[in-house]
This record gives sequence, structure tokens and C-alpha cells, in this order.
Amino acid sequence: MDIRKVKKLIELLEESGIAEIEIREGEESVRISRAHAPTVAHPVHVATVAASAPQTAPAAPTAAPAAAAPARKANEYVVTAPMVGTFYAAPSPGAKPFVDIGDEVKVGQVLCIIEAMKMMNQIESDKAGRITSVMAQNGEPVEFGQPLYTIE
Amino acid sequence: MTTLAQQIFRRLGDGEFASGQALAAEFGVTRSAIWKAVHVLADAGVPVEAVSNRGYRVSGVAPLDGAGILARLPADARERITRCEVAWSLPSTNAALLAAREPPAGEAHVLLAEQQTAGRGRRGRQWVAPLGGAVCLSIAWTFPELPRDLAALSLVVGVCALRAFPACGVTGLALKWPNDLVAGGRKLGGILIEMRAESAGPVAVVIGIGVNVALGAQARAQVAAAGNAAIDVAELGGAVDRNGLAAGLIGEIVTALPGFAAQGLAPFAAEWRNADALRGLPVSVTRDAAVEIGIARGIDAAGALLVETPAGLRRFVAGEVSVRAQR
Repeated sequence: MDIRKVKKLIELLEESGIAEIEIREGEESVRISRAHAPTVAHPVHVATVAASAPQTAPAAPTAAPAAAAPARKANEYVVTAPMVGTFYAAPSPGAKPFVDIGDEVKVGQVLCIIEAMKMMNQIESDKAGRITSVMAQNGEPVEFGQPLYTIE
Repeated sequence: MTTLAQQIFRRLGDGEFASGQALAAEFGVTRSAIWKAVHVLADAGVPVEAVSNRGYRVSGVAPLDGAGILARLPADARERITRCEVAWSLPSTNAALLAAREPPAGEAHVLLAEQQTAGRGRRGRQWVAPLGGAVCLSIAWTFPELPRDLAALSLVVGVCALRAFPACGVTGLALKWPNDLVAGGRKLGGILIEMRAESAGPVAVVIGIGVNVALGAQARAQVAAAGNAAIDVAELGGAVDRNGLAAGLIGEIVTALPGFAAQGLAPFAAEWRNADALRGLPVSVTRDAAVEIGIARGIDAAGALLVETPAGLRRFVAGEVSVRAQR
């Protein structure tokens, strides 16, 4: 799992009221929990991070649906990937991203595109609000259920 | 594009000569207006012949005919199509269907256009199609629930498109992963599937197909300038019958969709593998900025491209594949 993603998850956890979050992507999973005493730095337990699992295995079944229980504040909404594919933040290479942190979005507004085998899936926001984080990198593969954006 | 040009295109589509004078009388305009409209068509790539004392004619480019296309479909496909329209000029048939309300599950909406002014390919690429020289069509379809193998739809549509060509006298085509129609390394047609899928509930897809039928010099130059090699049905010795080809494509796809939802790629995989244009060739796979190279090794059961790279066998679900020059 990308270290930047882990960092994002930690930030997400810190902002939220919850104590622990576990995210699984294919064969990798990471669990992050916060110490109860507020004075202690937040320890990070990385559980069962399989050694950079070969995504390359021939005929590997499409990654099992990941049960990503999104951490959220009461007013925070997590947009997850509805399919396995490549994440594109912009309509074409070099173009401006569909949305950026701080943007106000409407219901039905396109947030990104996920491509799998030349099928372009426009991911629309099913929530109105302000984008508070972008958790996927342009051009990177994403798994089913992976958090992409948080909207507040 | 004016309405008069459109009327004249339809009028001359029978391949018979009509004089400027007769056309002017028929449409209640001046001969000079007819002359201008003919030039609009010629500029858009329509092969209009002008012969003194005989008039104008357009040969080999019959206008698209929605009712005629429907009539040529097998009954079970025709029954599923609840809307079939032919537009004169649209930015993109895919964009128009994506913006429209999706059909109810089990029904198909079909949209064809004589001309696409902003035809689209993958990741914002342009699809060039001259007026009357290509088949540009889109099919909207709604799966009641997420098919277990949704991404493989891309390859399945490629197989369906391939099946439509022998009836038009074109054989020996291949598929370049995931679904480009190619002949001798040159592109005959492309497929772009767009959709709005959510994690749960129905899945509305729009399947767009563009096939070069008779490109003409202008469009060829445009495609070549973009660094691509194109081929058309005419050059392959096939029948320049856009209505017949459109009916074949629509019929094959609409007939296959319910089966795909139930059975996925499996019933189509052998046909896809037989038509694999890349297997064994050195390729590069580009995803926006990232490029990887290796030898193409076919597809896996989910339809992903397998490439033997220096770092081992890699599996790709997205990207632009090109064949590298052999050393």
C-alpha cells in the first residue's frame, strides 16, 4: 500500500472521532488505531502488509471486494471506487482535475474517471459538499471499495 | 451545417444525377444556394460529383436509415430496441446518450449520426469521421445489477463487432486489446464504453462504435497527421453499405448483452483469443505518463492484458497499448 495513502488514512483518523480503522486492498491490509490517552502520539500498527503482493500473477482473480469501512465524521462522506481500474483525476492527460481539495461539488457532478479495459466509468458525487481529501493518485490502480474522496 | 445541405445529402443518396436547376425547384431555393450547399457537403468529406449538363450526384454514400436498419435486425434484437434515431450532426453519440435518460433494464436505445464533430476516443483523444464515410453509433443499455464481470464487456463488444464484418465481405480482422478492430496493424474501428456505475444498483452503459467505411483523402490526412494508421471497409474490399454494417453491429451487440450479464467473458473468450492481434509481439503499455514494456501474452480469464515484462508477468486492466518496432 502506498505510504501516502497510509498517511492520508492517519490524517482521516485524526480528524474523525473514531478509534480504529482497517482497510484491506486485495492481499494487503492496514489497521490504524489511535491511543486512548490524548497526550500519547498516535501509534500506527501495520497489520499483515503482504510483501508487495504481485498484482502480476497470471489469471489472478479480480481482487476480492475490499470491505473498506470508511472512517468518517458525522458530516463527512467517503466516495469509494465502484470497480477495479485505473484512477484518473482529469478528463485527459494534462487537463485540469475534475475536482480538487476545497472545491464545492453538487450531486451528480463528475469527480473522476475509473478505467478498466477501455471502459470509462464517470464517478459522480452522490453527495453535495466540499472536497476535503483526495485519496487516490492520478494514473494509479484502485480496488473495488477503495476510498477516493471525502466530502464534508 | 445547414438543413439544405442535409436535404441535398439525403436527396442525392440514391446515386442518380440531379441538376442544380431541378434541385433548386424542388427545394424552392436559388441555384446558387444549391451550389453552396453542395460545397458544404464536399468540404465535410462527402464525395459529390458535379458533371456539366447532368448535375450533381453522390455515389456510394447512402444516407443512414433508422427504420431500414431496424428492419434488418433479427427479431429478438429488434424487440429490445425501444428507440433508434439517426442524427445529422452531433458532437458525440456517446455524449448524447450519456446525457439522456438511460433505458429501462432489458431495453436498448440506439443513436447514429451522419457526422460527429467531436468524436471521442480514450482519455480525451479525438475520433475523426468524415460525413457519410463512417458508421458512428452508440447503444445505451442498462444492466439491472452489476454484472459479475463488467469490465470484460469491453472485450465482449469487440468480439460482437468482429462477428458483424463477414456479412459485409470483410474477413481476417483482428482485435487489439481490449477491443480495437485492426487489419494489418491499421485501425478499422474503435469502441469506447462509458458509463455511470455506482457500487450498488443498476448499471447504465453507453457503447460507442466508430468504423471507417470510406474515409476519403481529407480524413486520411487528418488521421495520419495524428500519427495513426487507419484503414477502411472500402480498402478491405468490403461492401460500402453503412446501413448493413450498422444493422450487423447493433444486432450482434444487443443479442449478446443479456448473455454477457449472465455468463461474463467465458463464452466469448475463445473467439477473442483467436483474433488477438498482439500475442507474442513486443508492446508498450502507457497509462497517462507511465510506460511499461514487454511481450504481450494474451488475456486472463477476466480479460486483463498479460505482458511479460523484465520484472515478470504483469497484468493490465487499463492503458494504451502499442506495438514496438522489432529490433
